[in-house]
Amino acid sequence: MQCRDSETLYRIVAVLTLVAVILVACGGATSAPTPTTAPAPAPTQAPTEAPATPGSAPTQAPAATEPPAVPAKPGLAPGMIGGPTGFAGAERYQYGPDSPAGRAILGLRALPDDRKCTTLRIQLAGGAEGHFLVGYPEGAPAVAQLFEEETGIKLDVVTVPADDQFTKIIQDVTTGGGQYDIYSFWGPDKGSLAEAGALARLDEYVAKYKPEWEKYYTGGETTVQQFNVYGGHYVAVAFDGDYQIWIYRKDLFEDPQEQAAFKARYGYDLKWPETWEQLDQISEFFHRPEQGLIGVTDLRNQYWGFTNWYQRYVSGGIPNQMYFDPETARPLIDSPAGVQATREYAETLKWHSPDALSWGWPEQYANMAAGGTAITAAFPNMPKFLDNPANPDSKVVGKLASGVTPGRIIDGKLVRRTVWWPNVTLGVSGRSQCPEAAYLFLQWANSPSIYPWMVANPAGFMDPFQVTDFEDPIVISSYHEYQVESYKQSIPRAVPPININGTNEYVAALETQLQAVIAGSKTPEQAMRDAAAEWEQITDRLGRDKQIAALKAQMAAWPTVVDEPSP
Amino acid sequence: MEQTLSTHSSPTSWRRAGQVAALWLGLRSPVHFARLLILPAQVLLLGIVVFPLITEVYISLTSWTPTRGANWWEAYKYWDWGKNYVILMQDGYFWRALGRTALIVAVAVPLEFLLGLGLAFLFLENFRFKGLFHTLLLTPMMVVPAVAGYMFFMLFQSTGPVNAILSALTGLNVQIPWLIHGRWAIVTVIIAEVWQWTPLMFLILLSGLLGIPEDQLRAATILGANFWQKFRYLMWPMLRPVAVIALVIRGMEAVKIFDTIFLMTGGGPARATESISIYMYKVAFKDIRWSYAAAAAIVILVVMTVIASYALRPLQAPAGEETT
Repeated sequence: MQCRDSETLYRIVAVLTLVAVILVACGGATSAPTPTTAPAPAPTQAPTEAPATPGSAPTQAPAATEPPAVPAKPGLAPGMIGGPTGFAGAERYQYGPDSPAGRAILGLRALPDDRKCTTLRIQLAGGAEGHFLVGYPEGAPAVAQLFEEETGIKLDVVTVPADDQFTKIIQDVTTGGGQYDIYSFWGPDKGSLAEAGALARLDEYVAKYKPEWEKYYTGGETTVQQFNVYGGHYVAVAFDGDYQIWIYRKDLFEDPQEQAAFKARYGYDLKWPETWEQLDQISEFFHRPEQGLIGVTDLRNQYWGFTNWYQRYVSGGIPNQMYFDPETARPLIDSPAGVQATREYAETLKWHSPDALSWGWPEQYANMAAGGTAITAAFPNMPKFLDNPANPDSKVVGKLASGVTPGRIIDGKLVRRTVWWPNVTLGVSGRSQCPEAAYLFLQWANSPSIYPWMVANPAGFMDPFQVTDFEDPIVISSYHEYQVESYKQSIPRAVPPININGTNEYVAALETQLQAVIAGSKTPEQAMRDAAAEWEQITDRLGRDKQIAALKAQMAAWPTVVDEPSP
Repeated sequence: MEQTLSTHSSPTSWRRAGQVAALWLGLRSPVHFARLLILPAQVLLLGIVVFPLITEVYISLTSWTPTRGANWWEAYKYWDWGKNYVILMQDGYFWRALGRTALIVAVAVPLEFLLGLGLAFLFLENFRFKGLFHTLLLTPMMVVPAVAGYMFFMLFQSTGPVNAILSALTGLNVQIPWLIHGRWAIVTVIIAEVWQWTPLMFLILLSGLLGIPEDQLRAATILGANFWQKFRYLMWPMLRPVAVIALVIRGMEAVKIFDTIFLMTGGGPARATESISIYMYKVAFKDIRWSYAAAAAIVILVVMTVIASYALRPLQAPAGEETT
């Protein structure tokens, strides 16, 4: 019996072997994947050298680095080692060896081959790729082309729908795909992604190559903490300045008849307001739907509207009304400040479009282009698109102005706070085979030399935020001086949105309750109590201790600037 | 089993070939050889159906999520004995989403059925431009649901065409808050759903009606049966299997409604139009609570299996009657 069984087994194996041989002969085996080489490094692995703890160690430049042995290419200004050439003003974007971009390029050239990839693959939000792949202005190379010229490393930019960035990264991490060296994501997701091990810690590289972000980011160290740091570690590099800026119709505000009517009704001069109360009165004054004019159109829809709640809420404390108590992670949104912000958020809807709950930024931009509102809060690029003589569909060319977010007077001080959202941010994949090279690309592209050139390029939606961006003539001419001024004023007064682990859950819980108030099914008090209760559940599920640590580490990201109110 | 195979299966030549192969391989009968042949397909099926299901059940019994930093096969480190199911039972959002989906299905599918049936009867007659109307009538179901969603989003703005038409018809300033008031929003979603999928119902029912033998209908007419009698005693019994299949297919499809709602309301205002698919999407891809989403998916699978088995019973009954 045993003999018969083994004979059977032998024959089955023989048949299977024959089938396998036939398949191989037909070419079936040629599609077998090539085994991968070395395994990916552990995500968010602690650096081998002593890290530069954000906030404790400045990222200032060391003494001048030795100039490279590589001969300078034609078109570079004296002393420069790289940068774009071939167009008027190109020297503004060139850099010497002792600069963030120079150190990045020299660092890349000095990397041994086993730590330098021939190609860096980037997952990028669709709509931002033009900044990397399209040359601007005429005669200039594209950023990717320049980078390849200077380092020999190709950039493979793979776009994904902007709202799918987070999901795609999680898929890449969960499946162990490790397809990308660099991910782009919305800034508030950096906490969740860092906790998921999707992002490599950059502390070691920041300490080694000195990007000097605190020197070149408007708002200094506070902005660096908001954009690039999570849990006390560098995990991201910001490539956007999505501050919510208030834009208004100066043709209406400066109209003598409007000014007289306003003063007669409210008893003070019509000008850009300092407080929410004044903003609401101006909105009420200009709300004339029968004339096709809406008072105000700051968004109230899902996914965007809560940024306008944030602004009212955070300005309810001095210097800030925080979302959580950092000592306990207990939500503070059910405080009087939260209730007041919620009440205002719902009540001010009467000066909005009747479709405000379903309006997103496309409707908002189209409405402003048609001259359909007096005031709005939007991305900084609104004047770039609408106050633009080349835009034949805009009826507000030459009619726009902008102002710093209104606020509240507390203890005799004026607290004005805006918020950034959502902000294209890039990070090095925790599974990249060449994380140092990936970081060096980010430092180079984010440098004060290259970033203004990138962001001046109209082929993408990234917005400026660095000091040198606001000195660049192309940026100033496209964004307009008035907007640049408001921008520079707003950034030091900007708070981070919620960006700890679970951001989307916290935001969804808050939004649901805000909409319940708007729908009239809950009072502001009930809604904020319910939102706080949901936040508590989320915090408990995600780990209160972890959240407390993240919140404490983020304290340096909150601004302290307060103003003197006008007499 | 062997007898069944030998009498009812392959032709004699194949049977002999099987016997020879079995003999050569040292197997006791052709049945064993047949089992060997279907083994790869069974393994494939296990990989496609059983493995994901087991994985889903496994993950649902933990509190694992990718944002914890562990790989999915290490989910056992977060084993919590099905706490997700306990939380799910108390999750008002889940049950409300399920109830809302049931409401959409319960209203939209019968409406689609009645409208589809009515239209199918109309198209039994000959009239001018019948072919053109037939084509036009089928157009909605060929529109990509996402496009339909955006179209209805534009149509149902408070200042949009629908309110404008209603204002023109009534002479009043109609300002129905279609998409921004919870109850109106769900009505709007149902309207969009009915608009898009009535043509499918129409198509299925028309084919069913065309399959009814014309001589029987003529005989009933000669015998003096009115329309209702012909429908009740002749047409409906023959149309019933088609109608049941149409209702079950549309019912199951309607439960999965996602694109239209996502584009029209995003599940809002608040969560007023959050269907179970939108809920699952938010939990899985916005909140990244994968183990919880897995638990919810298992519950939905069970509920849907029970409902589908009941829904298909009318089809099984006539078959039973025939055999008895």
